[in-house]
Amino acid sequence: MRTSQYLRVLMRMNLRELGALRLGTLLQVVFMLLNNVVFFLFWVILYSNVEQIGGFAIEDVAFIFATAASGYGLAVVLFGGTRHLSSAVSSGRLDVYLTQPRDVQLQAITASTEVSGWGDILSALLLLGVYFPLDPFAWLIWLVGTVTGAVLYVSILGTIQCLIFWIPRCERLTEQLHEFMLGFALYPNTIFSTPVRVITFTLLPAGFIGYFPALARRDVAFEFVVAAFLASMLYVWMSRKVFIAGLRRYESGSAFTSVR
Amino acid sequence: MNRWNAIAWTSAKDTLRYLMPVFSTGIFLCFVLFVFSSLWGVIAAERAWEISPVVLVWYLAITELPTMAPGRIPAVIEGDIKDGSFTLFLVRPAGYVRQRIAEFSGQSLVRFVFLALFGAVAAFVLCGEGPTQPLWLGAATVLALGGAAINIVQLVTIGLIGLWIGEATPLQWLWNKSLFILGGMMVPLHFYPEVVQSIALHTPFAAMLYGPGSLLFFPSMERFVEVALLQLFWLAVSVLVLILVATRAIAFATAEGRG
Repeated sequence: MRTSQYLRVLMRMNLRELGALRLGTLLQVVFMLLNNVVFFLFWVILYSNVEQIGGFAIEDVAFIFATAASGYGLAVVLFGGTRHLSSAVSSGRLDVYLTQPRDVQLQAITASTEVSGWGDILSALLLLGVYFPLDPFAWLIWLVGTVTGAVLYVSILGTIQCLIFWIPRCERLTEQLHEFMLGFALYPNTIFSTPVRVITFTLLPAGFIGYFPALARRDVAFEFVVAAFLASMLYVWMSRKVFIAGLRRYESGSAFTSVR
Repeated sequence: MNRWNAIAWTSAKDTLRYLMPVFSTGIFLCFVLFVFSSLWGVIAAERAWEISPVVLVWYLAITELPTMAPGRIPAVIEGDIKDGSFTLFLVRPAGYVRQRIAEFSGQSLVRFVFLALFGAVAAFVLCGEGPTQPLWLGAATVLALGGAAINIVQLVTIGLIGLWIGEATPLQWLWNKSLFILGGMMVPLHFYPEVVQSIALHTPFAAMLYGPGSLLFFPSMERFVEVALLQLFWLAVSVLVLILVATRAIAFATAEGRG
């Protein structure tokens, strides 16, 4: 089975899990949707006092929020195992994937799905429906931004999780960096000072996730989307390199047997 | 020392022995304060809104305490229900709810103290100055502790509701975000549109977050007493709801053999 086929089957299985509509599953989706909507009310309240913040109006912030939320949602629905990569390494669960012919990293990051991600995607659709109901350009940029955002989330979070190969018991640190990444992605980048903005385009490249697509929509400038796409490819490459280097240091947790 | 105090004390000592999770939450609190100090700084610099970034950052350092100090209580209770620990408590002389509340209170108190220190240092570094009236910052911190107590009771209730719906964590997401917005965690309620403000002031969330934080804007002894009484009222209501839910939860678990 080719990788693309594998991903298609995976997508079908994830949809099937959603289709099962168990109460717990449904609640996760609905509550995440409501959670995001309620959180966005903060911006609505803030913008009832101001017209612009850092050159961004409320519809720009709605676009940033929608793109960042749906990018994250898509990432955890398709590659839900990314967030648990460090615990898989420390508990020796990578053994299971090492014995199989498919790519170890791909198996590890696709090992689980987080159904709450559908709630993130739905909240993005709701925000776009409210702020850009008849703007096909906004929807197009959002779609591209969602895909590049998901790729960026997976590659960056995957790279962060690989720290476990070098720093034992760093799950809390990886979780923290994960939260910083999400935090930076949800706010207009222009509110931060220059050194922080440099970080948000290098170490924790959250700026490519919501901010660049929002600039592309606002200024009708495709170069921002192209830059986000190129950045996502660069970070995928980096994520692969780091994972392979880390895997060489992996020692079995005796889930099956010792690897080296 | 009665047994509930002993349990709370043991839980506090346990939390003190392994402080990494508390430090981790403290660093996240610093990050939140940093993001919002940037946001308020830009708004003030653009003169888009007449606000004082210094007061707003100190306000946020106070309002974060009741939300962050209790931690992920519903997830713990959800775990107890899923792995069967919940039903094991039913045959013990110490009731599940009271024992857990004692434990959560002990650990939350330690977290509260450390987070208050983290918040104060971060707010001071970010603002470059302390609050204009430090005495009222102390009074606001005391009221924030009251807010945290109400939050513990409410989060235990949410955790028990998980017995019926299977998952309590998603309910906590929504509860927390409602607390953020209706409690005026990031933006003080007096800046809200009037309609939303009047709705928010009739919820327990306002007494938990905005009440303590508002002392930085309107410092007075009358205000302090008013918020303290309001917190007592909401604590009593929250405890009554908890008793109702806990009684039904135990009856449900006994009948269904859940756990």
